Amino acid sequence: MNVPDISIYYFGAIALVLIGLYAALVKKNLLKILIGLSIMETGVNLLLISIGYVSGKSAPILSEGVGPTQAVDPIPQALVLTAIVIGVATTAMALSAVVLIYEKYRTLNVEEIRRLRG
Amino acid sequence: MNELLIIIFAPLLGGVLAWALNVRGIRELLGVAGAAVPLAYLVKLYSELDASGQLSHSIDFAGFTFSFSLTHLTWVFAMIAGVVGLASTIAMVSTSRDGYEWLFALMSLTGAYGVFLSFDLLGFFIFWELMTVGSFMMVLKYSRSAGLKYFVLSVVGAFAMFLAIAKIYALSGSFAFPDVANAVYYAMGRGDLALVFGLFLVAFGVKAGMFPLHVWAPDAYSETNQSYTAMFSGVLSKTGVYGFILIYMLIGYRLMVEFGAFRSAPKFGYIIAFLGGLTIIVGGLLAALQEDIRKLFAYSSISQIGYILVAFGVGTSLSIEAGIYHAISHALFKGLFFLIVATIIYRTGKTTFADMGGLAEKMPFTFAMAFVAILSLAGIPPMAGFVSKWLIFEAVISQNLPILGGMVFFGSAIGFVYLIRFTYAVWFGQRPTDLDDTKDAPLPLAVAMAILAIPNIVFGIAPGLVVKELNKIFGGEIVTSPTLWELNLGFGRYNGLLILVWLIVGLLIAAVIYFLGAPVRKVPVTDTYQSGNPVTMEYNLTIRRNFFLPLKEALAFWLRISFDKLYRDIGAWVEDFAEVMRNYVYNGNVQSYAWYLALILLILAMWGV
Amino acid sequence: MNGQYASLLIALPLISAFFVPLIKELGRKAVMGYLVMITALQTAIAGWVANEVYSTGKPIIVIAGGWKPPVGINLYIGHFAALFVLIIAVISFFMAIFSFRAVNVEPVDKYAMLFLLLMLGATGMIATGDIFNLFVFMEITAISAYALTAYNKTGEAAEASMKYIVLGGIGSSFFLIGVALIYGATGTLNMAHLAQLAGAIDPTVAQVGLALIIFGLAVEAELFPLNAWAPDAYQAAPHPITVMFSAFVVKAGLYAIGRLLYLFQGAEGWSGLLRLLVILATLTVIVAELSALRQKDAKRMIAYSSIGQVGMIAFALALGTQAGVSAGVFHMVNHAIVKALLFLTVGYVGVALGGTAIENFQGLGKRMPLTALTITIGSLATVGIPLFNIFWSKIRILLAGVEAGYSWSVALILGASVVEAVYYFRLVHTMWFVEGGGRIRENFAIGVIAIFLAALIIVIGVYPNDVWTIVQKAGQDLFNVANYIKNVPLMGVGA
Repeated sequence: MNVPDISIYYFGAIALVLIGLYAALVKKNLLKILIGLSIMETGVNLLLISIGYVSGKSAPILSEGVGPTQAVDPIPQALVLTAIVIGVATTAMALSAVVLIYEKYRTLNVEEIRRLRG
Repeated sequence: MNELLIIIFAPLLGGVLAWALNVRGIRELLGVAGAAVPLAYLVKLYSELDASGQLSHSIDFAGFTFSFSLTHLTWVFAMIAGVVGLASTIAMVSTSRDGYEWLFALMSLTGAYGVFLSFDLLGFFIFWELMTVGSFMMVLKYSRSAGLKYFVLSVVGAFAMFLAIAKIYALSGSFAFPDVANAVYYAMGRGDLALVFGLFLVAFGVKAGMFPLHVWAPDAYSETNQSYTAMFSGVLSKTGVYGFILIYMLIGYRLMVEFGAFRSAPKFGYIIAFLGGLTIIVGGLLAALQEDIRKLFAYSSISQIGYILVAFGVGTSLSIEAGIYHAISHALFKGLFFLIVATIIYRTGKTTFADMGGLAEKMPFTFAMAFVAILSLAGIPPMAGFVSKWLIFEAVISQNLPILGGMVFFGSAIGFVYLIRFTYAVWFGQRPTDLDDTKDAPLPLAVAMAILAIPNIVFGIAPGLVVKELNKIFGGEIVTSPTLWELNLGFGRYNGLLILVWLIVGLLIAAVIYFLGAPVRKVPVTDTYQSGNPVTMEYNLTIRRNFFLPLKEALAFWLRISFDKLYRDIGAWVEDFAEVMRNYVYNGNVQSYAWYLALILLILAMWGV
Repeated sequence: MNGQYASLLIALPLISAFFVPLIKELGRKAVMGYLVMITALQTAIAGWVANEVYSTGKPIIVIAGGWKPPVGINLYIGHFAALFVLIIAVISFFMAIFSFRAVNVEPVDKYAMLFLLLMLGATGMIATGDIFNLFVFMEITAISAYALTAYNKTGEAAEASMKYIVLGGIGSSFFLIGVALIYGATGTLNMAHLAQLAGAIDPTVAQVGLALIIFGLAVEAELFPLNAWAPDAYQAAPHPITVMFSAFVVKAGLYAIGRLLYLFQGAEGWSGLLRLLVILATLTVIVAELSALRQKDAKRMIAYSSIGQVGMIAFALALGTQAGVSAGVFHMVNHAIVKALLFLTVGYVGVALGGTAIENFQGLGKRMPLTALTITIGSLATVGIPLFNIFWSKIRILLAGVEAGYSWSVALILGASVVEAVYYFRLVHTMWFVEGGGRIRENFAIGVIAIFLAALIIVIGVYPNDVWTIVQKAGQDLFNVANYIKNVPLMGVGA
């Protein structure tokens, strides 16, 4: 089996985080910023998974021929499940806030949404 | 409960009760009792103190050990607080209208007692703060700007002191005075020592009203209940003065060893003395230019404190003893002056010279009191003020410090300049018609004034009383006092009784001459004012209005240099800076905020983590 | 009783939150009553737990599902957690009562649910002994906080919530990266176990991991410049929620910083991180106090002041000495009381007079004497006047700061305190010496709470000995990691 070196996953994950951060720092549209945040979360999740990854082992599901020694580390996968759920909740929360903002401000440009300042 | 704690906390307790009950009559009773109890205890403890030399008490509280100690030195200062505090609270019976003032006035008195009796730096600091808050609240009620100015400067001073205390604590691990003195002597480095000295100088300088930190005093002293100002100027400023003695006690030796002497005074002391000298001059000149009695005495109070600082700065036993003597007489005559001002305001409702005149006839008792106070402040025998000023002058001259001597001398001269104005403009001359039915002082104020006036005279005629006590502080005959009336420095002598006798004899002779046919001629008022020179209306300087305008014009250049304005500018600058900064930093744009996060991440990365 | 009942602290609010929809039909009063009841119950449990911990002197370790740590997740209710869980419960109880009067926007049932979840999240953050569990609770807290910030449904509320979400989202992502790195290096998430292994991990990974974790938490703990969301959120949130933010949500973040910081004492670059934290904390104090100086809105002003005080706590925790940590914990307790009082009373003024602009405070001393008096007490306490509680913790922090060699930092903090004193005294002056409108009847229940808190301020100020003993124990709990490791019955892994 030709499994790529594990570090590719790390770099991929970090790249995703940076892309997400870039979007959050540069894009003026609130929705795009939130998309950036989501991308960042995805990157983090990928990082978590890759940390638990052990080359050549299978998914950590106890079944025929897969014992604890043949599976990858199950904990990160559990963590990622939790993190995904949390991410979804945050995104939902954020989107509902954005809806409200759009209702009140009639814009999604972050530079115009600054009634609270100073 | 320990007696020292009773002395410290009785005023606060009285104040809190007076404020909480707030029933007319009971309120005043509680308040005065709060000020009287500590005095009674101080008197009672005197014999015990005399036998043992020191009464101490310490308690463990909040994880710290607080020690209190009554020594000869602290007894003297506590007595100042006791007498002036009592007089001031009695006067407040007339002039104070609500529980608020009783609470905070007595709170500041508790603070002052605590400052004097604390034998560790932390307790000292805590009571210092308490005192500041109480007095600040008294000012805040009358004027927001004066209150805030006073508070900001006080807090800057208090925090400077705190930083110094923390520095010392980090070194010694203890707040107790003996440990502190030891640790400083053996372990403090040169840089830290200079820093601690500078911080203490700021801290105590603010409270004592030392130039150029005095700017809060004229406003704060005048913008509050004048009965309270008697305590404010008489007692609270003495905590600053006491602080300078603490500098000697705690870090003085080390400073002397480390930085040496300038002429015959220690170098650090010379700094104190020089600033004290400037305080005398600046305070005195500005006092002469005021049009408001309250301001005049506020500046004069500052000027007089300068004498004490000069004396302390010279740093010999004699000069320090002279300084403490002047602290006593300053408290007595300045307290008396402010009570007189309180009486005048109470009866006339006026504060400027322009509205006054001829009150001596209407308020004979108050005038008599004013006479005592004027003589004492001007340094005319046989009053306490003369003795202390004379001692200071002798102490400075004997150390061969001509600049300081000149400053002290100048201060006495300028003292006459502003006093003559108060004497004439308020008490003599033509009386405005609306003051025609002015009554004399009400009983509480009269009693309060008498309490302060009597020692003014007694300590002048019988200086031996005071000197005997002060000698105990140093444990030696610094100033010998062969009899109660006499002082002998070796190079100078003073005999209060003799002077009194001669004074009376002289007055009698003058009276005899006056009544036995000295030629009397009625002089029109304008003659004395104009000295034969006709003046135009534009340049009409009467004793009640712009009397010292020529002086003001002569000093115009120097008067433009105002530290008050400097501090105000700094304050305004800070406010503007704060305004600009918060609008830039918290600009409302979430994306900027996200950049802050990125920036911190970057810093973390560069930090090597 | 069995210590395992302490898990009710987590279970009760969680389960009760899910029952709220059932009560919804009975109307607003019923929902609020339910909220008061649950928080009262929580207070009782927390009180029992605190009593248990402090009387036996041993922490309660709750082990979930019989799985021993480090495999299973455990709660660690030591001296610190016991104290703070109690504070959280008491403040929540008070705020539940306050919500009766202060929260009138529908849907109240959602409010009640989120309220309970916020309390749950903060409790969990403080009680948990597992670093990922900490993340989960942090997110529960954060998400309920986002929602509650937006609860008033005004544009400002939505804006504040959005800012909070964006910044909190970035922070938590990096926190999780940190957790991932640490987990990758040690293979464990249990905090006691981590502390045991801390010295042995690869220094670079430990450094980066710890730095990212602290970064993530610092967003929650309102360290400058990561705190830009805070004033907005404080201002826009319903008044009871602001109290909760200031009294314990931010404290949970601070606690987490302190806990993790000291768990990783062995890690390389630790002292560098401490120094950075000290700098950030000092900046937090200065910037916050200066920003508060000329605020036109009292609630926002106090929010900035709260941030400043939080900076001081962070400063204390970052000193790396026992004295500093104990002082910091002391300040946390005092700050919780004082800021609860201030936000409560200022919020009440906002409810009664229709806004918290400073003009509304003119002549408050005559209009609402009790409220004005308690605000005054809170202000004096914040400024650090002797005979009020904050004075003691403040001087302890500053003394510890100088002792640890950060004189410059202490000097700057003192300078900022001058500014703080100025704006508080302006407020006091406005309340007492400026003329205002007519007398307003004050609410009895809120008055009782305010007086209780004010009395607490003065009692601690006048007699701090007992509280000091308690917080010292709590501080040791935080600082003394060896004890922490010893107390958790690790299943013989690695040890």
